[in-house]
Amino acid sequence: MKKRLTRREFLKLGAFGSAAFLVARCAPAPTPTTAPAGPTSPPPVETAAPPPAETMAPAPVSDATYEEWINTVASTDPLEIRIAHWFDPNNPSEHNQELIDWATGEWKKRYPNGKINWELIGWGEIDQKTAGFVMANEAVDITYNWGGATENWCSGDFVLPLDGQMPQWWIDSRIPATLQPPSNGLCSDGRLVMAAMGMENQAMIVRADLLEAAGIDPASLASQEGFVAAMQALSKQPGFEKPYAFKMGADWSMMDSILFAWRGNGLTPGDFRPDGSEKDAWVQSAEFVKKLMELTPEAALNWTWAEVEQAYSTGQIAAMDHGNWFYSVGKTLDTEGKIVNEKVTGLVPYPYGPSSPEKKPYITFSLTGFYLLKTSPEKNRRAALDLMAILSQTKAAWKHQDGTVPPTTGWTIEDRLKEAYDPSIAWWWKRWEEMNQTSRILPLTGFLARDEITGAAYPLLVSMYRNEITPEQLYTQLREIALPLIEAARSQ
Amino acid sequence: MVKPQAITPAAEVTPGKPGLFSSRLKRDELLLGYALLVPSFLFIGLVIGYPLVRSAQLSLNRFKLTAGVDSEQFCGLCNFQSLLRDPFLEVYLRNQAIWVLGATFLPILFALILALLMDRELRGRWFWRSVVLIPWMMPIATTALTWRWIYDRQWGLLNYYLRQVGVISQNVGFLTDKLWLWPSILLMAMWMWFPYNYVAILAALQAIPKEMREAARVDGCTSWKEIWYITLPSIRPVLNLLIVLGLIWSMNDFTAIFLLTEGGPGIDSTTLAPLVYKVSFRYYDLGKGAAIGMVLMIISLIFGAIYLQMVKAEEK
Repeated sequence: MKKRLTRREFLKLGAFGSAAFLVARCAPAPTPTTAPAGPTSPPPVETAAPPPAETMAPAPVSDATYEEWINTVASTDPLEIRIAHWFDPNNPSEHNQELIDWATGEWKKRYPNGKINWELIGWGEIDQKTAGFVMANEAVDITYNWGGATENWCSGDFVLPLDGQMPQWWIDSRIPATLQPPSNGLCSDGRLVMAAMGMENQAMIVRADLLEAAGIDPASLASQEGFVAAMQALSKQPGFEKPYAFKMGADWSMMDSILFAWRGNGLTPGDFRPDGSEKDAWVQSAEFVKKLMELTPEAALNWTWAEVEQAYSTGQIAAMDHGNWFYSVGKTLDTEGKIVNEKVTGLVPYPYGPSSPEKKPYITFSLTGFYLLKTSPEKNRRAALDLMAILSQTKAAWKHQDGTVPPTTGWTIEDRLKEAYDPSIAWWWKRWEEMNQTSRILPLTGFLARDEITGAAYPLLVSMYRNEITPEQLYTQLREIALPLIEAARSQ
Repeated sequence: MVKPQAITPAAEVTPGKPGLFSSRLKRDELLLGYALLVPSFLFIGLVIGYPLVRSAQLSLNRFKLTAGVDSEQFCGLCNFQSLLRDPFLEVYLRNQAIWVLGATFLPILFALILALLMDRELRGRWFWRSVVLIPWMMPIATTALTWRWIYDRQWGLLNYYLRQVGVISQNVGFLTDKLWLWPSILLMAMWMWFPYNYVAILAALQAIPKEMREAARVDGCTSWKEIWYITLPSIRPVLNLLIVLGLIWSMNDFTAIFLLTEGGPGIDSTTLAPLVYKVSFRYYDLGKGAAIGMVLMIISLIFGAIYLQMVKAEEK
């Protein structure tokens, strides 16, 4: 006779079942073996180790021109590509949709039976979501981000290299310097992982009219010493007791806004060496930051990019560190055009510090663009690479990067203005172009354990702002925290 | 209490074998009951059980996403040790205590005062009672971002009006000055969460028999004594529950404080929930993030157990 299932037994059974399920799910994935995969095995996991050609499905690089290439059917398979594309939830742009529609049309010429799933993700979330896709092994092919993410994604083995995978017309269109280390479109070992669409130049944005009123020659802002003197002079202008602003509202924005102080002095804020040879230059950079902090309003302790942009555009501060994409932001905020215009807003390169080997000001750039994720199914990769090439091709890059300088060659500003949505941007592009010609250009670079050092530096920098610690104490305390972090990152 | 009669039609149909069909039916009913519970068990297992077990497992592993998606390795208590060695741990714990206690007791206190005021004949009483609920109906993100703007030192509304009425001559850094940071954060928390407490307390106040109060007044009780000796003891079980629930909710709250200050300036307002986010998703240290999450969960469980005891006691 069958035994009746008691409630207790039922629950026990359920608990055992659940536990077994959980144990099965939590168990580590089987280690791949060198044995040949059977027909039912999943595709082998890609590794990011060079040489790149071995890590991807072999794909011939086309020598055809764009016109020939785009009008050649690559596959009639019913492929489905997933792309995580950014959008700005505060400023949803029709231009973005236009790009999506155009790129889809072009891609369909090569993949007539293919389909692209565009997943629009807010700028602030795309980093975490991409990590989530990789963690969950979601079959997402392409993601978009700025180059600051590259180092993490390379070390985490999230992305696949593009070397040898892109058509020749695309390679020929790039500015060669953007494909060289230490550009942040590359992994630190030199593998190209980003099909860059935007080249975001960064420098100092200052109120040229106020400098003129104070009788300051913009050329004097070339050194850190001269820059501080100019800001002190601006602080004597009516309404500008605190004319400069760091973005101190969050660890990441604070780090972004202090980087130039170290870079202009031949270092990075994370440059801590076991022999301590960085000390003098490091402390000099911190002292420069401290002097600018004295000229930064206390409100900035709670400001990130958006608030500093707002403060400049509404005339409450007179100088900030920003990039060429500020144009569209500034135009939106300064609706009356009182500040963000040719006469009032000036651009100057980042100043150099006393320990700078070159003793020359510089501008920097960061790339933004498309990455091929390792989660991309092998059958999709060729089509995904083609979509990346189409999206980041010269015409699209020039047209769809409102403020930034696209990383492509062959077009003049005049050519570009024919494609521009807003031709009044001409003065802004010309200013950046002038700086491109006259300044040193250093690609934006990261440093080991950047995220953790950023997290640890932030409260200390706030303490320095509040005069609770000196620049030298900042160095000593941060060094103590940073050295083990660097060591741990190095041993990863 | 009259117990419902068991329906046993089988006994009537088969009088020769009393109980046999009945027990089979009972068993079938039981099995059906359990089968109906299976989806709930599965759902709870998937959305609560699995993440919980996975978090516990993660907290014992070294797993930094930037070291590779496959870099997860068992390391015992290494993440908890790393947390204990964190040079800023004391600040995080101090912030957590201020936040949890402040965000629990201040809304209750304010709600209590307001409920006592509203629990009487007022002109347009229903209107006022509805108005009070507005902060509760606002999305937390909207509330936090609005308060961030109100508090801004440069262009905030609060500074503007305080200057207009002559209370201050220079702007105050409500979210930047150490002195004002926590009072400002807790004021927002009070504004956000008092309506829920208010509704519960008002309901409890209205359940107090009128005769008790009338008798107290006849005996010469002052208003203060009435509150102290009659009202508060009568609503004590509700207050206790609100306190425990408040402790649990504020313990895990992330949105309000993160949107208002991002845990800053520096780490001046970083509590444990935003810390979990920062460590896990900004530094990609999933192991350490899970360890902080486990600590947070254990503290919440203690309060949860207290809450359950209270509910049990209430039921008795």
